[in-house]
Amino acid sequence: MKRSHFFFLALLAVGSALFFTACTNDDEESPVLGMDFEYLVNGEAFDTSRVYDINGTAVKFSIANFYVGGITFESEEGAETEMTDKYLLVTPESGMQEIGTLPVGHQHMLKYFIGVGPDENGQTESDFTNRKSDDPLSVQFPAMHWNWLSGYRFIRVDGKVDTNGDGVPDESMEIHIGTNPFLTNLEFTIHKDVEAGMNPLHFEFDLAKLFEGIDLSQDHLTHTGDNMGLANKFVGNLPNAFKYMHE
Amino acid sequence: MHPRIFTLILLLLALAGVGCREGDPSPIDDTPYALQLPPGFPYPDIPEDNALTVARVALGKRLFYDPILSADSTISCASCHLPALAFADDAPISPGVGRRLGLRNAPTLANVAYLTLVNKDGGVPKLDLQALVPIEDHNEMDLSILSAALRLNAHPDYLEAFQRAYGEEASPFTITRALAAFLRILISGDSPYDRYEQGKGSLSESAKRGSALFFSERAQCSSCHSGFNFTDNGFHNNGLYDTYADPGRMRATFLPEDEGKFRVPTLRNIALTAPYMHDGSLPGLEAVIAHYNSGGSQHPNKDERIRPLGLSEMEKADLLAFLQALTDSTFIANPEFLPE
Ligand code: HEC
Ligand code: HEC
Repeated sequence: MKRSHFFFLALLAVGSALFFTACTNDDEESPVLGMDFEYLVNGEAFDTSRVYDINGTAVKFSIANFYVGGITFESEEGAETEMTDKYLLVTPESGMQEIGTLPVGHQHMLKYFIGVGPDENGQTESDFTNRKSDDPLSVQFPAMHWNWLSGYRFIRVDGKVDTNGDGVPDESMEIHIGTNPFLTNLEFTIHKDVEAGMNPLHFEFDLAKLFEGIDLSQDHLTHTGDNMGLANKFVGNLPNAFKYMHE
Repeated sequence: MHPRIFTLILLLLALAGVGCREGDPSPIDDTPYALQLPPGFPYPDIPEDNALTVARVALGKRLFYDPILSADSTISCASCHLPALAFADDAPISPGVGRRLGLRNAPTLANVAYLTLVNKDGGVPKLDLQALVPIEDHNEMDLSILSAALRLNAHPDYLEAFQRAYGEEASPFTITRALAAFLRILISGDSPYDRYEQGKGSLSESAKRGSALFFSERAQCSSCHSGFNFTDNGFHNNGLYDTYADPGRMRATFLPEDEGKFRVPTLRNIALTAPYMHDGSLPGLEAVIAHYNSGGSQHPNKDERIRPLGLSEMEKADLLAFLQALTDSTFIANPEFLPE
C-alpha cells in the first residue's frame, strides 16, 4: 500500500472511531429492553397522600426509592449477558427505564440486585460527586447517599407511622439500608422472547410485603448500623416484595 | 500537507467536535500552588482530578469562610473550625444551624492533607468527599449540596471563580474539591519543639524531660501518637469509658471489636484545641494527662498500652510542658489561611 493511502485510511478509521464513541450510538436494529416497577401497597395503588394499614399500623409513605444494578439475562443454555455498569434509580415516578440491548431470542432468567455494587459503593475512585448529573449514581435529591459513612442508600423508605393507635401516622419512619453486606440479589424466571423494538419488563413492587414480621408502630427507624435488627428483617423481605409480571 | 488530507482532518475534527462536546471550554487558570512543607514532612498524596492550583485554593478559602453553605446562611466552616484555635473549637460540641448539636468535638484541621481515612470513625475514605458531611448534616450546615450549587451559581463572581478554578460551574464535585484544596494547604510543623529538633531554637528543661517521657517505653505515648504528625492514623480505644455513647469506629464497620475506637488525633497545636477527646469531655491537658496516668476504663477493647503509669507530679508537669511546646504560632497567624 502506498504510504499516503495508508495514512488516509488510518485517519478515516480514527475519525469514525471518534465519531462513533463520541455519541453512544446503539445499533438501531437491536431490540431494546426496559424495566418498570409498579408500586403497590397490599395490592392497592401506591399514593403518598393515602394512609395504609400495614399489620395493624397506620402508615403513610413519602419516599420509596431504590437502586437496581447488576442486571443480567440468562438464556435457556445458561449464557449470561450483563447490562454492564447499568444502574437504575427507581422511584414511584420513574416509570419505564431503558436498560440496554440484546439480540433477538429467548431469555430464560433475569437477575439483578437491589443496591450498588462494592466498587461503586466504595467512593474511593469514582464517587457520587464526580459523576455526571444524569448518572443515577450522582448526588440525588432526595439524597440516596450517606456522608458520615460514605456510600449509597440502597433503598430508602420514608414516611410516617402511627405509634399511639389513634390511626394518625405522626412519627417519622426512616428505613435507610446500605453497606455492602446488605446488597440483595434477586432472580426471576421471565421466559421472555426478545423481539425487535422495545421490550418492556414489568415488575410489581408491593411495599406492604417489606414489613412482614415488623411491627411498624414499635420499630420504624433504621439507618442500617444503628438498628441492625430492623435492617435485617427488612432486607430479608425484599425478595418477596418484587414480582415479575408475565405478559 | 496534502490539501485533501488537510480537509479531511478538519472534517474529522469537526465531526468529533459535534459528536461529543458542547460549548467552548472556558479558560482555566492552572497556576500551580506551591505547597510549603516543613522539614521531615512528605509531600501529601493529591488526587489527579484536584491538583493544587492557586485558583482552587483561593476559591476553597472563600467557601470555607462563607456562611452561604449553611441552610440559613449563619454558619460557615470557620464557625466550628476557628483559625486562632488551629481550626478547632473551644466548645465540647459546636452548635450548627438552629443551635443544633451534633455528636462530636470539632477537631483541628492542621495537616488533614495526610489523613488516610477522614473523621474520627474513618467513615469517609477521602478528604475530597469530606465537605459533604458538614454541609448536608442536619446538625451542622443542613444544606443539600445541590442547593448549595444553585446558590453559588447565582453569584456571578462565584461562577467566575469556579470557572477559573475548574472550568465548570459550582457542583457537588467542584464545591467539595475546592474546599479540599484549601484544607490541603493547612500544614503545620513549626512549633518550638520542631525548631529545637532542627537545632534552631531552645526548649525548657521541663519540656525536654516531657519529650523524653512522651517517647519512652514507659509512657508509650509515641507508639500511637507517632511520626511527623504525632499519629499512626490507626484506630484505638484509649480507655475513656466503660460504655461508649458514641460507638466510634464501630459506627463505620459494625464490628464489636471496633467499639470505642477512634482515630488517633494529631497532637500538633494541642494546647490550642481544648476540650479534648471525641466528645470534648476532658476540659484541659491536665485532665488528659490524669486520664492516661490513671490507666483508663475497663472496656474490653481498651488498648493494652493504656495502663496506670504512676507519674510523679513533676513528670506530669513535664509532659504538659512538652505538649505545650507543640503549638505552631506561625500556623495560626499565616495570612494565606485567613480570610481576605
Ligand atoms: C457545626 C460545626 C461544624 C461545621 C460548621 C463544620 N465542621 Fe468540620 N467537623 C466538625 C466536627 C464535629 C467534626 C468531627 C466529625 C467526626 O469525626 O465525625 C469535623 C470534622 C471535619 C474534618 C475531618 C477532620 C479529621 O480529623 O478527620 C474536616 C476535614 C472538616 N471537618 C472540614 C470542614 C469543612 C470544610 C467545613 C465547611 C464546609 C466544616 N468542616 C464545617 C464540626 C463542624
Ligand atoms: C493506644 C494508643 C494511644 C496511646 C498509647 C496514647 N494515646 Fe493519646 N489518644 C489516642 C486516641 C485514640 C485518642 C482519641 C480518643 C478520642 O477521640 O476519644 C487520643 C487522644 C489524645 C489526646 C486528645 C487529642 C484531642 O485532640 O482531643 C491527647 C492530648 C493525647 N491523646 C495525649 C496522649 C499522651 C500524652 C499519651 C501518653 C501518656 C497518649 N496520648 C497515649 C490513642 C493513644
